[in-house]
Amino acid sequence: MIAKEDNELVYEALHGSRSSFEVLIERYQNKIYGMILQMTNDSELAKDLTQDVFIKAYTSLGKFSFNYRFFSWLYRVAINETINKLKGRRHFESIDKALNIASEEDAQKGISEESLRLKTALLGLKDSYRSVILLKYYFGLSYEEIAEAMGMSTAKVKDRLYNARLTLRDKLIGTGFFGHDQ
Amino acid sequence: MINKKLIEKIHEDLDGKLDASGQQELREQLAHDAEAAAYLKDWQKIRVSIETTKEHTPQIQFAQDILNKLPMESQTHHKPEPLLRTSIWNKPAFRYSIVFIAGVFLGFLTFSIIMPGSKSTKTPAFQLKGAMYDSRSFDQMTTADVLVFENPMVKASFNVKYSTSVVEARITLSSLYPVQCVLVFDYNSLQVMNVLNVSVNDQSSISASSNFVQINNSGNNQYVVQLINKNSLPHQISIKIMQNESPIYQNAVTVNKE
Repeated sequence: MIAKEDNELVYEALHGSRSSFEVLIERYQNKIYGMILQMTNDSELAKDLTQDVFIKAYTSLGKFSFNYRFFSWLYRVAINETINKLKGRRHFESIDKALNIASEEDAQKGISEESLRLKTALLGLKDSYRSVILLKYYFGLSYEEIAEAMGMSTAKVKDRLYNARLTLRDKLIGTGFFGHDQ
Repeated sequence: MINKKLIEKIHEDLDGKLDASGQQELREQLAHDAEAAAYLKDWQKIRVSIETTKEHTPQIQFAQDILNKLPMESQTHHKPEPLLRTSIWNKPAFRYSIVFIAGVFLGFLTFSIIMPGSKSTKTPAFQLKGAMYDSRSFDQMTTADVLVFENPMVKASFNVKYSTSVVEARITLSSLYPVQCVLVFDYNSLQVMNVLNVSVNDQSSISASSNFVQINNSGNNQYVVQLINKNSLPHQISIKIMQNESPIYQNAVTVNKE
């Protein structure tokens, strides 16, 4: 059986088909959860936010433009929801708490010290840089798809990604991540 | 400070988007730029670490939980956009063009409808009714005669009916070249009430005087002549068709025969 296109499923969901929206949830729940987890480093918060993102997407489906890709739009909803949630917290407290939780969880999962350093550096990035890095490297989106997801031009995406890459590297230097900088 | 373009090229290479010549060019540049070479090495490590982290991202299953939390009727009030709507429709220039073309078309349509002489405003002869001057329709009037004439150049038919107050002649003329048709009657018995060009081209016309009606015809046309029937005595209407002022057909119809 050929899988239905996202936009076809959205169209059916708009006509009241919950099963079509369920297919969309199945298709993207892990990607959205993964992205939010990388942004917050808090698995419980990420789970709650992932559910919120799909509920928000469902109730806002009437605003979705069929000129765009559904997953870009969904990432946009996820980024906005996550950033809004993080803004409501004291950011540094959040990072410290997240890192403490993450380090315990990661130790249990056998995640290396190196990955933890990367997570720390990512969490130290400002939201706009972190989002663009995650979309590019964790989810493999093209510049055009990132532009759609973040609601900006492709040129601006390239510019932001350039700055984000430099900043991320700078944050990792001195942490022992690269080995040569200790 | 590493050149911005060089950094872009390094990431293109990491993304696998550089061709062989691009890769060769990059290698040559990195050979002379230790800082850029270190940048490449660092980002190779970052990407490996990202891939490792991705593998450790736990899988979740939320679908049923989310579905249970969805509002029941939230989508029923939304009017979805058409699935086949294309991006070109969103371009203002395209939309304005469509509106302009539609406006021109409607304007043309309106003009053609209200334009004098437009065929669409004409009522076919068979739909005209005597009710406009008589309580009875043409079909209910008494037939005086139906005359038909035909030669290779001209075809003509005269359907003449009458009532106690009106005489009506429905005339169809078809001629390749201009012909004149004249209906002559006694003005003491019949009086012109109305002449109608039911379906007449620009080269044809109909006119009336006290005791005759003249038609100048070219092509296929239809006319209606309405006369006041002044009394119930029998009256004759003389009908003549002429071409180049020479009669080619002549006949007469009697009304009030009974």
